[in-house]
Amino acid sequence: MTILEANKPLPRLNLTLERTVLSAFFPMLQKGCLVLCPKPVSVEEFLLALPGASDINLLEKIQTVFVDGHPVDDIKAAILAPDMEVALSAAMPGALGAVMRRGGYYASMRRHITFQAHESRDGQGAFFITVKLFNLLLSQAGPSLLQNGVVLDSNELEELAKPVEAGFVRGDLDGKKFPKEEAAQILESIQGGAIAIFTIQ
Amino acid sequence: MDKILRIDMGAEGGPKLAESPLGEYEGLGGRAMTSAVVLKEVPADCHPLGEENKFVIAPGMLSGTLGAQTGRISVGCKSPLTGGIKEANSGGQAAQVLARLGYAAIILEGKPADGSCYKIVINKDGVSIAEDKSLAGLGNYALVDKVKAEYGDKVATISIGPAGEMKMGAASVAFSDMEMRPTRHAGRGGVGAVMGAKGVKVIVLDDTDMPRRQAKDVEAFKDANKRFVAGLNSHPVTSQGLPAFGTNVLVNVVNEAGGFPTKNFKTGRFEGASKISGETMAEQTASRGGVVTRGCHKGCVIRCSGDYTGPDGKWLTKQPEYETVWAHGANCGIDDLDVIAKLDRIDDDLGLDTIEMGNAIAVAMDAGLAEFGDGEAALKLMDEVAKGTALGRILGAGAGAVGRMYGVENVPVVKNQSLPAYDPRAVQGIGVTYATSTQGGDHTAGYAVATNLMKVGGDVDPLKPEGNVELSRNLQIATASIDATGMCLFIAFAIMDQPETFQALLDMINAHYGYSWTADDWAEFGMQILRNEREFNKAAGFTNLDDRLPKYFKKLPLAPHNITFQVTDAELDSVFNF
Ligand code: SF4
Repeated sequence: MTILEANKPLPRLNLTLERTVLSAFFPMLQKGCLVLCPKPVSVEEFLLALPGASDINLLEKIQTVFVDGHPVDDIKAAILAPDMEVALSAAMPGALGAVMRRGGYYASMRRHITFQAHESRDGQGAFFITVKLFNLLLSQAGPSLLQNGVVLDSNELEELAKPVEAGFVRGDLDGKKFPKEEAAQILESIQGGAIAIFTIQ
Repeated sequence: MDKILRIDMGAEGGPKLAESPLGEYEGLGGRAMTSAVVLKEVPADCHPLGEENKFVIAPGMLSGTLGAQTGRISVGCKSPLTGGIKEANSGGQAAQVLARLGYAAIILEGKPADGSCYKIVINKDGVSIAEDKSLAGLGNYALVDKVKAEYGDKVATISIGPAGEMKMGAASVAFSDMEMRPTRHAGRGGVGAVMGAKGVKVIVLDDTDMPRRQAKDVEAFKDANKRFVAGLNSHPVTSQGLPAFGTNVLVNVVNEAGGFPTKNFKTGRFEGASKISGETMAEQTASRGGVVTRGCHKGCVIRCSGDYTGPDGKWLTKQPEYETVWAHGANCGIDDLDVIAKLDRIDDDLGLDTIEMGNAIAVAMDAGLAEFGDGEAALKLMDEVAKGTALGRILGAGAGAVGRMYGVENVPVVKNQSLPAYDPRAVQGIGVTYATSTQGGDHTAGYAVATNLMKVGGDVDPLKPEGNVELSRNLQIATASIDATGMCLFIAFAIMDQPETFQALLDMINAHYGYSWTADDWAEFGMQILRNEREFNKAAGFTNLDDRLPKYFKKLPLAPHNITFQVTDAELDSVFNF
């Protein structure tokens, strides 16, 4: 049973961390994190709603977008639905990089796998999607995604315990503040996962 | 760069040197030079390892100048792997040094007695050539160490390892890098076997006291180069993505697209991809104390290379490139970067093409010689190659040979050369290039360059289905032009996205040679290279039936998109319509 199937409210973990420990999140962000999508929105709307997205010109930095492994050309037309996997990358080198780029000149070279927009916005309510970040976006978009909040299972929380302690500025669990010395132990002791909101400064 | 050095390795009484002016090869460099010489001087029906074949080394048109990114070098011959024309391209120091020594090409001709092992030394005082049997059988690393002890660490080397001496179809030619390590290779098509057949183990190049090449219009060249560098420095791919992660940054993206060939092209996704990605490798290198970002030659401002540091914190090999990580990694089901790096080091030392060897091992795994994912078994297979056992020689002859010897039906080769790291079923436009390239299955033959600016063959609507053929054609033409300049193909993004950077590149060529080329002239130049290569291949017996992917790509769907290669034969036959 996954943490979402357990169907009970997850604890909320708020952490403010120093930027020096950001790279500890990279393996997890590369593999993909569960993120709450409040309603069926387009990929573009989802990205623009991430904290600080416009300040860092996020859309411009994201040159390659996949939905369920299909390269996306029009991020306005691609509507998110439950359980979708969205992968985001900066512009990549080589023929493949050019071919995969959204709306790029070489898009037809991979037209057989290009994402076809067919989902509607009919569905109601919030759902989870998986978001993966690659390459430069790990450091560029990682902080925005982490501040938006990600669902972490107990293994992931355990893996992050040490770096969180190292870069700890402040934190609370369901509104209850805890000090740096207790951070690692608290992360390791959360059973069944948590919604974690990280502010990287 | 106004002369050609010819060495008749089979002359009576020992190798005979001759220098000549450029003559009809005036203005050519890199791939334009090698392909023109091979077409004109090599009988297409010759045996690639025989006396009639020629081994041509040519720095790019702008190599040896102060231009950025101009240090690529081309090696050309009739390929023992494909039986067609071959241009294999490499970085390293040799292009700049050879160009400053004044040579637009070195051509090795004829054939000495079997077992010959010559060393050629070129410096400001001239050329010397002598047998040195003490070099026979040395790996590239030991060889370069010996050269360093004798000539110092400021020289550049062009060498072959034992694979070239054994004349293997996967043998490469090694070029030393800025740290004087033999890490850069003209890998594809068995060019190392042809150098081996000429009996040359190493060429030592020393440009001490040689001046930089001067442009016809020095100021205009400086100005164009400044604009060109500014363009590279301002583009996110060339200024950030490549330096930070190297070419291996493509692993995650290609895997996500479902086009990352896994376990001998059986599926398009590898479950261990994130363990071998550029992102992971960069983190690991930094944490092991290695240098993440390096250039492969002086004058590279992009610097896509770096160190691979072993678990002991010691330098093991250069940062393996995307193609290598894929070939020895995902394609063999191996998700351990340390194993992949060891295989890369062995390839460099023996002088082997990592793409061909990764595919050969994957086909061997398919044949049941080892389990997919078994890194130790892959290392043992490489040991067979090093020892030159019967099995090792089959592996070293390339994936096609392994498939034939062990009865494997699905072998990913075109013109007997292994396909590189993108599955043509997922990215069909690249499949067009793989099928129709004059070089056999080749990724660099279709790199993304400024074709949208050049508008080669007219405007293309990339969203129209038939765009695949036009785009592949344009990419192949533009790539041929770039390969002639000596420019690294990674300038592609900057010149594709930034018209002013493309103009700066043209201005560099014009200022150097006194030309007034437009984009059309540059495109015509690229087309002429391809026409030469097609003409040679036709004379060598190639027909349109050789411009095909193996049939199984049309029959077996590739997961996760469950798609087959759908470009028709008629479309493939229309690529070369010029
Ligand atoms: S970008 Fe990479 S391949 Fe190109 S010249 Fe620089 S180091 Fe060599």
